[in-house]
Amino acid sequence: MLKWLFNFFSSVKLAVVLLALGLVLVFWGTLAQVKLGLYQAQHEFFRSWFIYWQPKGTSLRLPIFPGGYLVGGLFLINLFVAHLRYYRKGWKHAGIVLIHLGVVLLLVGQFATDMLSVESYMTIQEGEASNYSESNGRWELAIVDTSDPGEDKVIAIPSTLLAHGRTLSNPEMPFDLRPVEFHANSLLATKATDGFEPVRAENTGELKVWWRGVPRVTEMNRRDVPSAIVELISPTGEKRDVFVSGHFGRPQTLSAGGRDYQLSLRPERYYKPYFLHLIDFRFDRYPGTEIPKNFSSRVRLERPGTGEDRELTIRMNEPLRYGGKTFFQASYDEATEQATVLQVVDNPGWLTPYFACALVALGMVWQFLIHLVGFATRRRKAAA
Amino acid sequence: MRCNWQVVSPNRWQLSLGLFVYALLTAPAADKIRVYHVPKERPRVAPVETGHAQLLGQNPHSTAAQPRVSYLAPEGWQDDGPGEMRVAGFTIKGEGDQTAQVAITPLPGMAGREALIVNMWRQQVGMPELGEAEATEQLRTVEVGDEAGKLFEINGTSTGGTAMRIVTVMLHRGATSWFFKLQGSSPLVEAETPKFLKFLQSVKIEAASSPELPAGHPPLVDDRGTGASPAARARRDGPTWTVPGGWREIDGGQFLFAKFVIADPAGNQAAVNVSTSAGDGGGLIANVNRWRGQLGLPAWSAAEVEQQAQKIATDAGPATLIEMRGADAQPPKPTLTIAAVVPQNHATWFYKLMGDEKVVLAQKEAFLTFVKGVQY
Repeated sequence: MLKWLFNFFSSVKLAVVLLALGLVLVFWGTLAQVKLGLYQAQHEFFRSWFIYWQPKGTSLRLPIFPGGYLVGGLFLINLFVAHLRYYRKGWKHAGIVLIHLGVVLLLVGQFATDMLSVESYMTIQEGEASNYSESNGRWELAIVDTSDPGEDKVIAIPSTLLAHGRTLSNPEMPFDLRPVEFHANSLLATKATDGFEPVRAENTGELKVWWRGVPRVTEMNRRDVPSAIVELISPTGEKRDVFVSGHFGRPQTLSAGGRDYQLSLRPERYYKPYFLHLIDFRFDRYPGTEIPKNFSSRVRLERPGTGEDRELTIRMNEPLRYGGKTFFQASYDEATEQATVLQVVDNPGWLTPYFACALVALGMVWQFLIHLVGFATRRRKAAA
Repeated sequence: MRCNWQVVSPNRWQLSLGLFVYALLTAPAADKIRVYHVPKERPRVAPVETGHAQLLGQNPHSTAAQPRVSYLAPEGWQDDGPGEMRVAGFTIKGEGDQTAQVAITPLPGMAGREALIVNMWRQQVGMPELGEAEATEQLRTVEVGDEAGKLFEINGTSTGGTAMRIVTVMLHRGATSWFFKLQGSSPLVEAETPKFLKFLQSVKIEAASSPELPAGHPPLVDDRGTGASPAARARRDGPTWTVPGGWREIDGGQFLFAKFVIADPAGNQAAVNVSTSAGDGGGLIANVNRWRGQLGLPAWSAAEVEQQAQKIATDAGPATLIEMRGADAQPPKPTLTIAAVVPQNHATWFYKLMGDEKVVLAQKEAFLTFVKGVQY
C-alpha cells in the first residue's frame, strides 16, 4: 500500500492531471469573477479545497471540482515525492532539480503570500497627510486613550472577537467589554422602519436609532459595515451599554479612571512610521466622455524618525515601493476629485515569483546547454 | 522505475518541511487584541457636524451625502444649524433690530455661471441685471480655507424697504459649488464682513464619505447591504425589467441600483438612474426638492409638489411622476428630468430620466413603459 501511494504521488501522470485541473481552475475562476467579484471568486475557487455546488432550494453543498488548495497541495506533494523517487546526483541533472525547485518555490511563495500578505487602502485629502491605511474588509473596535498630549494609546479589538460574545479583558483596557449584540453587516435608520429594531443603549440618549443585521456582502465594491452593542464593565463592576457602529463617521468620547477615551468601530488600521502628504491629485478624461484616465498623486514622503523628506509621484503603473510596502494608485474621491485612494500591499513574499521564475529559467538553460554540449560532442566524435 | 531512497538526506527533507512550518507559524496573528501607540493625528479644524442630532458628539447621518464642513465660528454668531438647502447657518444680531444671516450652501453644477449668480442676487435686492463681463468684474478673490473663492458684494433694498447688503463668496470644488452668504442690514453686514472673511479662512470641506442618498434617508438603508454593485445586483436579486432599445447599461457607482445611458444620433445624452431606499426614502417632497437643488431650482412647497405630481399606474401599483426643467452639470445646459417614485414592499424605488431635453422627451414613452413594467 505504501509503495502504491509512493508510486501514485510521484507519478508524472498525476502531475499532468494536476496541471490540467489547474488550467481549468484558473480559467473557470477567472470567468467566475464576473459574477462573484474578485474576492469571492478567490475564496471559492483558489482559497478552498473544493468548489461546491448548491442545488437550488436545498442546503446541500456538493463538491464538484478540486479547489486551489487541493490542486496546489497535491502538486507540491507530487513534486516532493517525485524528487525523492527520481533524484539523481550529478551536474547533468542539476537543471531538472532547478526547474523543480523553482516550481516548488512558486507554490510555496504563493502559499506564503496567501497567509502573509495584507491589502489595505490609504485615503488622503489634498493638503493633508496620513500615516495609516485601512483594511477593506476587517473591522476593529478601537479604544483610544487620548489623555497623553504627545501620542495616543490604541487598544484595537478585532470585530471577530465581538462576534464570539465572550467578555474581553486586557491589562491595558480601562474596562472589561462584553459584546451584547453584534452584526457583521448592518443597516441603521433614524426613524422607525419595518424590519429595524430600536437600539437600546445608553449613549443614544434622546436620539432614536434603529438597526438591523443584514447578510454579509462579497462583491469587491461593497463592504460589510458592522454595528454592535457592547457592555462596558468598570473595575468596580459598574455596567454601561454602548452602541457602536461602522456607519458613524466619528468616534465617541468617554472618560474612565480619569482618562479620556475615544471609542469607534472602524476599519482595521495599519500605522506606518512615516506620513504621506498629498500635494496634488490629477487625472485626465477620455475626450468627449466622463471616463477618467491617467491618475496620479504627487505626494511628499515624510519620515520623522530618519529625517527623510522627499516628493514623488505615484501613477497607475508606477507604484511607490517603500518600507516593504507597495502603494498603488487605486482610486479617488469622485465627489470632490481632491482626494486620492492608494492601495497598500504588504506582501513579504512578493519576490518569490521572480526568484522562482529565475530558477526555472536557469534550470531550462542549464538543461538545454547540457544537451547541446552532449550533442555537439557526439557529432564531433562521429565526424572524427 | 527504481526507488533511490539513499540519495535524499533527512536534512533536506526536514528543511523542506521546515519551510512549510515557517510559513504557517509566521502567518499574521489574527483576532488578538493589539495595543500600540501612535502619534496624534495631524491637527485638522474641529469638524462641526452638518447633521441634525448628535450622538455623543457624533452624527449618525455622517455617512450621508454632503461633504462635511468644518469651521471656526466667530463669537456672537448664533448657530442655527443646517436647513433644507444649507449645511450650516448663523444669525447675527446688531444694534436695535438689525440682523444678518450667514449660510453655507452647496449646489451642484454652478461653476462657470458666475454672471448668472451675481444677477440672481442683484434681483433679490432690486438691482438691475448686469452684462456677463460687467458681472464678472464684480468678483474678487478671497481665501476660503486653503483655496481661492470669489467674492461679490451687493447693496440694495429688501422687500420690506430697508437697506440691505449681501456678501457672497463662491467656491467651486469638483462638481459642487459652495456658497457662503452673509446678508442682512447694511451697517451690520459691513461691520461683520471682516469676521466673515476670517470665518471663511477657517473653513475646511471634507469629502463626503458616500455619494448622494435621498434627503432624510437613513444612512445606507438597503436590505442587500451597503453600496451594491448595480449591474451584479440587478441581475442577481433585484427586480426584473425589460430594457428599451437604445439604452446602454453602465456601472452607476456604489449607490445606484442601475444606470442606463441614452444618446441620440447628434450626440445629445440622457441617463436613467435607478435607486432604492427603505421605507419612503425620505419622502416625496424632500426628494423632489433635492433633485430641484441639483438642477439649480428653488425648492417647492408641499402644495407645489402635490400640484406638479402626477399619479400613474404601474404593474406593481400606483406611482408618482414628476417633471422638472433646470440646468445640470458641466457644461451647464438646459436639462429635463422626469422622475418616477414607486413605493414597493416597504421600500421606495426611484427612477430618474434626465439629460438633454430632446433626448428626454424622445425617451419619455419608453421610460414610462419601462417603469410601469418592472416586476419586483
